[in-house]
Amino acid sequence: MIPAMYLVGLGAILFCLGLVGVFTNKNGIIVLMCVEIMLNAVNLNFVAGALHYGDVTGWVFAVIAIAIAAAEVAVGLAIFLALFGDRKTIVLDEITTLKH
Amino acid sequence: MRLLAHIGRVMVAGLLVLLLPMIALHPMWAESGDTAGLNNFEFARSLLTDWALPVVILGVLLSMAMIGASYLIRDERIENLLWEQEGES
Repeated sequence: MIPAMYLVGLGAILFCLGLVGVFTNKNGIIVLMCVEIMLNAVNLNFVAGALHYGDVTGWVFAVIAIAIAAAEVAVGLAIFLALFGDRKTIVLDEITTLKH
Repeated sequence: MRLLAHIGRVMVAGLLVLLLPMIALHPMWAESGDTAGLNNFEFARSLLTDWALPVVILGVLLSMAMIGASYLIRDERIENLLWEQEGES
């Protein structure tokens, strides 16, 4: 079995990759994908914790996080689809309606 | 802007360099729990007894998200509205 320490390390690497993606991309879909990478890194940490402590609570939290991620993606994609229909763009710098 | 992006990348890389040794050297890895209780039956039992209410709330949240998403991407083109009202003819 893979030691939990390696899983947590991989989770940290994935989280940082997602963070870099969120900070440096302007395309809404790519930002959404990077947020998903960060959520999956958190899931990996939950599973590693469950493995390390021998407790299923980590699995339950991972399942809850997966469901919340699914809801977030559904709403996010719907928002981007509506925005593209309205503005013909999903570049985040050009979507400034809430500023005014 | 591009410079800011590069600075952000370097800072997150620095965070990772700090984070990985902290994870690897943490004393929590010395003691490990018993993994005998980690099986599908225990997982299902835990979901349906201890975590039943959060699972139900999660179902409501997912339903709300799906309904909201389908409302957001509703089709308002006039030809489709007419087709819905009048049918194929």
